[in-house]
Amino acid sequence: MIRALHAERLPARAWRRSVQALQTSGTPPKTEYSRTNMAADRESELLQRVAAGDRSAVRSLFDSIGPQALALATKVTGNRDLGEEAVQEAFVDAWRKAETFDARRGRARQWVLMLVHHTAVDVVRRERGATQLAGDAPLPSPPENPEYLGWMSDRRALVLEAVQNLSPSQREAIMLAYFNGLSYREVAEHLGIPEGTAKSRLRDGLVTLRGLVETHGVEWGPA
Amino acid sequence: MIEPHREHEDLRSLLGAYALDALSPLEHRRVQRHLEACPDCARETRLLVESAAELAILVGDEEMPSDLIDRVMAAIPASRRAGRPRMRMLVAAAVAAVLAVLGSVGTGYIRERSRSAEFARVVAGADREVRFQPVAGFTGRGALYLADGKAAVVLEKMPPAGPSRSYQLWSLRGGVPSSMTVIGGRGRIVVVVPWRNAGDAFAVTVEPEGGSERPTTSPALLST
Repeated sequence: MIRALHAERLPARAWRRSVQALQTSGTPPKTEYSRTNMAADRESELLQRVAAGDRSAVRSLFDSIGPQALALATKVTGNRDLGEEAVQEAFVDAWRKAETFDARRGRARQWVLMLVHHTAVDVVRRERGATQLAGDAPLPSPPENPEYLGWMSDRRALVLEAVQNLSPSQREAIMLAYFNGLSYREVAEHLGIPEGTAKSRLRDGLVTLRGLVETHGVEWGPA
Repeated sequence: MIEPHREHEDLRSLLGAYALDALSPLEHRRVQRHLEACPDCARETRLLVESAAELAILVGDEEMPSDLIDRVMAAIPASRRAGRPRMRMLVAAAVAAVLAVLGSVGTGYIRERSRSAEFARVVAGADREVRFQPVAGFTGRGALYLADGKAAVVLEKMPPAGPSRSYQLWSLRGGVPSSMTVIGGRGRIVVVVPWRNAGDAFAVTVEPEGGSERPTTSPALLST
């Protein structure tokens, strides 16, 4: 069980530690955590096959990551059809960019999901622009509590706990930006705060998040 | 001209938003260019991006429609070099983001569609973005996107300039104004004009219809 965290004391220290670790070794400290590693190895191998031009590996990678990719894209776009559109574009993008994936520096799943998120944000902003033509679309409502987003693994529970231990203002800003696809300016407008404050909350919130997760021994590098 | 240190700090403050895909396309590109030249920011960004990527794990799985993989496979070009449909999407996203940033978009956009391709090209290729703030009681606002050879001007909520009056856009170099264009219309106005890469500030004034050789009124909008 993860103990309660002193969120206000952790970030700077943990942040410095991870920066130092990167500066000295080039890779973050490695800690054991188990069962997703085999799947991660397999996904990494699949992505490298995609990079080599193996089309069948795209299908296998899609079987493995697709369901989570679709959940993420649907969440960000707020619409299942747009979510599917984003996933489709992202996997085509993954095919084009797979050569830039470096297995020594990260997991294949995260790499693909970053593309999915990026594409989903593109799609939702495209749509939001179009919607505004018909009349002012209200900004999306604040996202649901992350608790209801569900989780399937220890790692997910760990990240979830870290998110819950962010300060409410940082958590709110990060959730709006990441899961609702808002720009920092829209976050500022939505929360009624200066743009500079929104930028700080996003950046500091990510630093804090990393510190909170690292404190519990989750590795950030490759499996 | 922005001082290098100030620009570094300015861009550094955007790194969290960059990691969360929460920047405008223009800002995103500015940050990307900066990261290529600044190892400190690149290192910090790597940590932030990893941190942001971890958020994806919070969503569960979604049941896949059986034909989605077939659609993906059909969309994958036979060769990696074939076609660049994504570029078009990026340009569309750039335009959408610009419009979103400027807030509500009037029906004028529909009329502008024929001009929007050039507008999109200028915005997508812009290396500098300037925002206008209204001066003392004026209600309009806007932005200027400066690319090589062309500038895209977007003005929002502009009141009528008045009978026999036009708006005029000026670039100021060392405080000396030179006319960029005369602008008619009201509400939302989008114009693409030639740009000669000169000017450290910009202003919009109300002038007699057809424009003036030099400003005859105080600025209604001034670059920030």
